[in-house]
Amino acid sequence: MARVPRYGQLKFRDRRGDPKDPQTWEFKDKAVNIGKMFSYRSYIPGNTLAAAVWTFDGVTAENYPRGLPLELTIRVYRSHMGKIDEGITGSIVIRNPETGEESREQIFTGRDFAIDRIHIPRQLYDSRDNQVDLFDDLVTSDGKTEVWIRCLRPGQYFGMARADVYLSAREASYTLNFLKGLAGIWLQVMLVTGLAVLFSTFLSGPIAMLLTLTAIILGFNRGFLDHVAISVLNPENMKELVLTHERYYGGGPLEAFYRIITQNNLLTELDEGTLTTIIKTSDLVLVTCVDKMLRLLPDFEQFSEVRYLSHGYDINGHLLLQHSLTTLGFLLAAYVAGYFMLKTREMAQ
Amino acid sequence: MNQQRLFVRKIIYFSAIALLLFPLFLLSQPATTRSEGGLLARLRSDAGLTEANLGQIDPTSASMKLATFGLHGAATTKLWSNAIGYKEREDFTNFGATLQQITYLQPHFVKVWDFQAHNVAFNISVEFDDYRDRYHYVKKGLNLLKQGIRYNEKEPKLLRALAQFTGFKIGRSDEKKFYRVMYREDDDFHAPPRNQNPLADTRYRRPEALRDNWLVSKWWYREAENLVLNRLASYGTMNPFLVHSDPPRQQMQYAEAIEKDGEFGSKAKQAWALSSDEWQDYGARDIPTTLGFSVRLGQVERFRQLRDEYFQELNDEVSELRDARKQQVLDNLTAEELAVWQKPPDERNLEEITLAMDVENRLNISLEELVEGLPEAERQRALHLKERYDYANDRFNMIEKYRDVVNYSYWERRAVVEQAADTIAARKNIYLGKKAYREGDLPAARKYFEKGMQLWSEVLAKFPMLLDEYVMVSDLMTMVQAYQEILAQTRKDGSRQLPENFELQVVVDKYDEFHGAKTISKPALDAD
Repeated sequence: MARVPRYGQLKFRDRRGDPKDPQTWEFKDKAVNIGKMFSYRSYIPGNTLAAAVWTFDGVTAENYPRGLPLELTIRVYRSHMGKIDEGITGSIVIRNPETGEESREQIFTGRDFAIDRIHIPRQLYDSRDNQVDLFDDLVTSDGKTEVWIRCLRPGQYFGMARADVYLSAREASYTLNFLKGLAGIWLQVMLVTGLAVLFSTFLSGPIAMLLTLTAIILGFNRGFLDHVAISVLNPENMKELVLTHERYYGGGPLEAFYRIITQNNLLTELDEGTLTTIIKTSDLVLVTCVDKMLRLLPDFEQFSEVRYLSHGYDINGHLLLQHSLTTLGFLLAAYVAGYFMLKTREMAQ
Repeated sequence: MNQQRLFVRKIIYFSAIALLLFPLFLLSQPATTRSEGGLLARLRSDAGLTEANLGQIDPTSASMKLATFGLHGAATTKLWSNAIGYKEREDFTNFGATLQQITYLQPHFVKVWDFQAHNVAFNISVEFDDYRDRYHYVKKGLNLLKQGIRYNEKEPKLLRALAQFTGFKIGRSDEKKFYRVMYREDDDFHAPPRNQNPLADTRYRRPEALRDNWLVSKWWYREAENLVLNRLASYGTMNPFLVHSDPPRQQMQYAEAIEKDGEFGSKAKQAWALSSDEWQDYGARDIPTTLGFSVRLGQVERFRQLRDEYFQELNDEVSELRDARKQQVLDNLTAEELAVWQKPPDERNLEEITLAMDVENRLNISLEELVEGLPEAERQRALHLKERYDYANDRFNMIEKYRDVVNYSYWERRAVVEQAADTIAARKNIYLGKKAYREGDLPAARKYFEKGMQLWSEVLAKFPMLLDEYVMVSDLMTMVQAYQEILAQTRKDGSRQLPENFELQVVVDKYDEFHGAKTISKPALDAD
């Protein structure tokens, strides 16, 4: 299976049906947090006016001649047990964002951790039982339409993020997708090989191998190291990271080591003194070096096309092309650097 | 550095390596079928720590440990961190895969299996909305424990964890009504193909027909108990009183559960009869205590009697001396002390109370002091009696303490009472009443409840000691509250008032006595 999704833009309405935040006066892109640390999904309470509204572009009869193939991967959260053997019901409404005309509610049962396929036919009924045409009445002239999802059970919630509801454009070839996944891995191999060859132009074999290994470890943990670097280098500007639980406490490598051996917790400030000053200054130097090195290394994490493959999504050709060009650029730079290293070495000998 | 020096240095290195290989060989030569191996292999074998001794051998696990070049501690830490991340991000597929890798690297770390199985069966399962998905993850947790048992066959803690999860997660969770049926009918779980059975080739062969979760739980508790009894494992940090009480307690849970499922024939009676027999056996078992001696919970009366007899004899021996000493204390009291002591206790002020307590302490002469004060000829006999008294008293106190821990008396009585025909009939009527209520037949529900409560009043008349137990009173009170709900729905005025001469008024009074106030909450008739 290689699903080709067309994603829309997601906004939320709160329990009063209000589309804008009363303080910032901006459209809400987050709903309720039910207490999970993983705040990727927002939750809408049931039996209220709260709704998740997706706006899709390019909705035309040519693209979807048999109606809209919607796919949902929403989460269900129960604040009370309810009937265990019954699912939580929700409704889907298709709405024209310009005229406000909307279809009659289509009821579905939330199935979490599963892909729920819902077909929206071309011929629908509105709330007054008048027949409406999907493309003529519920889609704007420039191909925009809205999908409203609500939870119907009081006290229960639906959790959603942007990628949880999409239009399934088509099913791409699995074999081709598999090959694209392989190509992603091959690009990673090329990057590692390029790095290793570059290092071997000015270092002995075992040292070059160790450095390549270090580069791979750094490259595959770039996200984590970036956050550690920001946490150490710019601790004052961490407000946003604190909010999203992405701030790392405990300082750089030396401070972390010191805390481990003294069994000091991460949040306590170290006692002021010469030792702390030495540790913090050394950490600044070390982390600055790591930070600079990270800028030179390719971000291996981003080359994981295979993740799309394992989750059953088609690997976007543009993404593969972008990664191929990045690899090519990196290899070119490595080639030039390697060439001059070798030249320098020959001259020295 | 010239080429010759380099060459010499290399020769020295290689010679040193070759020389060091000999002691290395003597130390760490692996054991084979023909040889006992090196020193380390022999030590492992003597201490029962070889892979084959601990459980089944997994080549994948061994390969992974080798492949990490001694860095498997660091690898494990990273994997644990990844697993926590995957769980937070609700990526349970990758979480499962990471878990598998952790267990490959730490197959003999019991806490890994225990903690992660609990994580999967209790924490991850509830992330799913559909109870069938939840059950799937509960089963995954149980299978994880089975895998752990495969590699650690003689680890009673893992067996007990499996027993506990099987009992409580399947039989006590909100979804128990569905879980118990699904578990019973789950052929994939109970009779998996050999290549998918984690317990294949191990010492554990549970009868396939044993499918009730409480009985399976009991079976695993028994296996854990047998490991200790057969000296294949020690109690370790496990409490011996719980190790031996769990199997009969699971039998009682089974008896309770089948009655809740609507089984009231001979099967229920036999289940309770077996519970009673097993509880008696438990009471007759020698169980080690923290004071270094063993006790039997069923011998409380014997030791109470012995203690009282020895005390009486000892008291007779020292009574004269005690009277004399008391008189001596009284004679030495000051006039103020004597006046306070003779004053009725409720007329004493704060200072006088302290003073009176001081006098009482002086009058309260210990047995040891009295025995020491006896003449030489009588002292030996008194000392002997004192030893006997201490022996009986220590055992009595210990038995009482542990009986409280496992609520021995309650379960002893309960297992007997539940076998009685009246009790079974009473429970059956209440069950039918609840069923009729759920089906909307309120007159029939009321009739069944009234019949059931009348039978309960007869049971309580025969076994009044049941009312001493809060658990029992609370259980009966839930029934009374359900009856009040039915009354409210069948009466025109909607009153929940219990009728005059209500048969179970004694239960209501006792419940209020336990709570110290009239606290009647709304019943949960839909439950069970």
